[in-house]
Amino acid sequence: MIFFLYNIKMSNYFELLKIEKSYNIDLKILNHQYFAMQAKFHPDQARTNEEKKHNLSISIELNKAYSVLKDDLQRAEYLLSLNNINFNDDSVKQIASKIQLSSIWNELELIEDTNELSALKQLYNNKLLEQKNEISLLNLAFQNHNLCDVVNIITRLKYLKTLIGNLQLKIKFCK
Amino acid sequence: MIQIIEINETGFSAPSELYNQRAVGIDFGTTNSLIAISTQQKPRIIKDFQDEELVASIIKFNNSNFIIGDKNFPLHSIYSIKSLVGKNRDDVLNNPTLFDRFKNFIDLNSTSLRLNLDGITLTVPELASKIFIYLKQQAEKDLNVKVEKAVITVPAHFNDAARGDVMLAAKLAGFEVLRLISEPTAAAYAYGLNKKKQGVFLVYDLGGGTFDVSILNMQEGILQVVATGGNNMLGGDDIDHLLAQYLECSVAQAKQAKERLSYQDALKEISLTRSKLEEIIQPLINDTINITKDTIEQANKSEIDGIILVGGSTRIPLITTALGEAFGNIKIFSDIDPDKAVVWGAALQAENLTASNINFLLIDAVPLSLGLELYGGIAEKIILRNSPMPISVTKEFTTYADNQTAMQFHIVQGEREMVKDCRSLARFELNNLPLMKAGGVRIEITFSIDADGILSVSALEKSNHLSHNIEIKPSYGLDEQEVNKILENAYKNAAYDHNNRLLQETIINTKSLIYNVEAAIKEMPPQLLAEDEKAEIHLAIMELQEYMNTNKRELIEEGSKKFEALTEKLIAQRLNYTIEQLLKGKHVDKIS
Repeated sequence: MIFFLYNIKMSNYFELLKIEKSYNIDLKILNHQYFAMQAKFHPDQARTNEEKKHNLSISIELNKAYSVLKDDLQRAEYLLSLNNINFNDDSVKQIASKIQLSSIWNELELIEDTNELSALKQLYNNKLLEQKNEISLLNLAFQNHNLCDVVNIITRLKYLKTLIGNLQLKIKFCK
Repeated sequence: MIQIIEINETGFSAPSELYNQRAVGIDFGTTNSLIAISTQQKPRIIKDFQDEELVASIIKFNNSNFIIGDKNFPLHSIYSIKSLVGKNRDDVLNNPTLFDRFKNFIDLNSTSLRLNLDGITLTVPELASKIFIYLKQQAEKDLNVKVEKAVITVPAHFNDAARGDVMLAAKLAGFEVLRLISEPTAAAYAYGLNKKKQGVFLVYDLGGGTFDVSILNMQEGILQVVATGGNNMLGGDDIDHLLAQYLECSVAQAKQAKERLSYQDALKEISLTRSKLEEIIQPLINDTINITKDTIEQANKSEIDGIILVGGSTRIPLITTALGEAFGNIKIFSDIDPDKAVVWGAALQAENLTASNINFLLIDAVPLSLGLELYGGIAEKIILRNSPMPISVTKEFTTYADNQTAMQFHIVQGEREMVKDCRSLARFELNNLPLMKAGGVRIEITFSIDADGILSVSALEKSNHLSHNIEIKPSYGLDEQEVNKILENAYKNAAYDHNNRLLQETIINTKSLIYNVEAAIKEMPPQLLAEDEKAEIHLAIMELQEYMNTNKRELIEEGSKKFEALTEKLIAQRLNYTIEQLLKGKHVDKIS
C-alpha cells in the first residue's frame, strides 16, 4: 500500500498524518494534524482545477486515515495489517476458542431474553466497562509487542462491539 | 447533492472559473425564504421590493403574474411548497397530512405530481423556481449586477430526489448552484465565522416543515460535520395544524395564536393558555429530543460545548425548557436571529467558494448511507452516513451461479435494511462476464463522492483486469424529456418575467412621479397656480392612471414623459417661489 501523490509521502496512515506510528496515540494530536492537513489539501482550498483534482485524492486518503486511526478497534486492526496480519470473520471465528464462543452465545441470548429496561441498562454499562478494560489491555499488549495477545483482545473487542450494538437497539426498543 | 454522473469521467464537475465571481446564499424555507450576500465575511440580507428581509414562501398566480410573499389570499395561494420537494404523486396521495394540505391544488388527472394554481398546471420544481426568480430579482436590483451563482441550503437529510428538485428549481430560475449545504451546517458556519465560537456544538434546527439536528466540531478556520439526524416531516406547520384542530379554527389563526403565546402566557379572547399549547405539542417536542439524543450517540462525542437554536419554531419557550431538562447544563445559544443564521452561513460559504482571500474550510459529511442491492432485496451499505467527504470506498462482489454472464447492480440510498424501504437511485448491468464457476468472477465496485457531494460509481472486473464504463443518468424524479420541456418553458418565461419586472418598475416610477407632483401642488400658494392649469394636471394624472391599468409599458412611459413635460413649468415655478421666499428681506450681498 504505497502511494506517491506529488510531494505527499504516505506509505501508511501514520506517515500521511505525520503522527507517531503507535497504538497509544494522542487523539488531540490526531485531530490537530487531520485539520491541518485538510486545511492544506481539501479540494475547496484549491485555486485551479488542476490543483483541485490533485487535492481530491489526497483529501480522500486523509479522511480514510482519520476514520481508521481515531477508532480504537480499527486502529489496532490497521497496525496488525501493517504487520501482515489481516482479520476477516473466518479467521476470527477460528481464533475464538470454543469456550469463548459459547459464553458469547450465552450473552447474546441473555440480551434477547431480558426485557426490563433497568437490567438492560446495567448490562450495557457493564459491557462498556469491559470494553474500556480490554482497550487498556490492548495498549499493554502493543507496548510489549505481544501480537498473540493483540489478536485475542481484538477478537474479544469485536464481539463486545456486536453485544453493545444489540444492547443499544434493545434499550431503544424497550423505551 | 448526491447525483450520479457518467462513470468513465473522473468525477469532477468542472467549474469554469474558481474565483472572481460574486455569489449569493439562499435559504429556501418552508415558511420564509431569504437571500444574502457576504463581503469580507460580513453577510447582509438583501431586502425585497416591500423592504422585507423574510419573504414568505407563498406563491399566487394572478393575471398571468406570479406573486410571491402575499399573505392576503390564503385560499388561492400555495403555502409550504418545500414540503412537496422530492415527492412523487403517490408519496402525496399516500400521506394523509400532505394530501390534506394540498388537496385543493393537486392535479389528479396527471400521472406525475402537478399542482393547479388558478388555471395553470405546474410541477413542484417549476413552482419553487418562482420563489428563486423573485429572490434573484431582488438581489439583482440591489446589487445592480447579474446574480447567477448561489449556495443553497437544504435540510441535512434531504434525499437525492429532494436535492435534485431544489437544484432543478434553482436552475430554472437561472442560477448555477455552487453547492447545496445543509441548513444546520450553514447556521453553524455563521456562528463559527461570525461569533468566533470553538468546540463541539449541537445545532437544533426546527423550521416550518423540517427538523434537523447536527453535531459539528468548530476549530479555527475549520468546521467539521460530525453527525446529522432529523425528520423531514416535522416542523412548525405540524404544530399549527394540531392547534387548528384543537381550536377548530383556520391554520393561519392557529399559527398566529402559537406565535403570540411565545411571548405571553394566555390569549384571553380565545381562552387558550401557553400551558395548554405546550400540552398539545409535547409529543412532537419529545420526538425532537429523542432524535437529538440518537444523534449525540451517533457522534460519539462525550462533550458538547453548546446547543445552537435555529429556525423560527425554536422561539417556542417549551423547546428551551425541554432541551434544558434533557441535556442539563449545556449552554444554549440563540445570539444570531434563528430565522437568519442559515442564510448568513450560505452567503459566507458562497463568498468562501468564490473569493480567493478567504479560507474557512467546511468538511461536510455524507447525509444518508449509499449502498447496493444484494440477493434477497437486502441493502448492503457501501458508504455509511456521517462519513467525511470526499470519500471513496471499494467493495468486491462475486457471481452466484456457474457461467453467469451478467450481473445487475442497483444503487440505493437510505438507512433501512431492505431495498424496498430505501430510495432507488440508479441501476446498471455488467455484461460479457468471463465464463466461470460461481464465485469465480470477482468485481470491484467503487463508490466515490467528491467535495461537491457528487457520487460516481465504477466497476472493475478483476479476473481479466477489464474495467467497465457504465453511464448512469441523474435521477431527478422526472424523466429527461420532462426536464427539457420544463427548461424550455423556463427560458420562454424568463423573457416574460424580465418584461414583467420592467413593467412593475415603470409603474412604481410613475406612481412616485404623480405623488411628487400632487405634493408640490398642495404646498404651493394658490396664486401661483391657475385653476385651469390645475385642472389640466388633474386630467393628465387620470389619464396616466388609465395607462397604468393597461399594463402596457410603452404607453405608460410615453404618458409619463408627457406628464413630466407638462409639470416641468410647475416644478420650475415652485423652485422659483421657494427661492423667492428664502431671499425675502435679505440683502443681495448676503446671498452668495
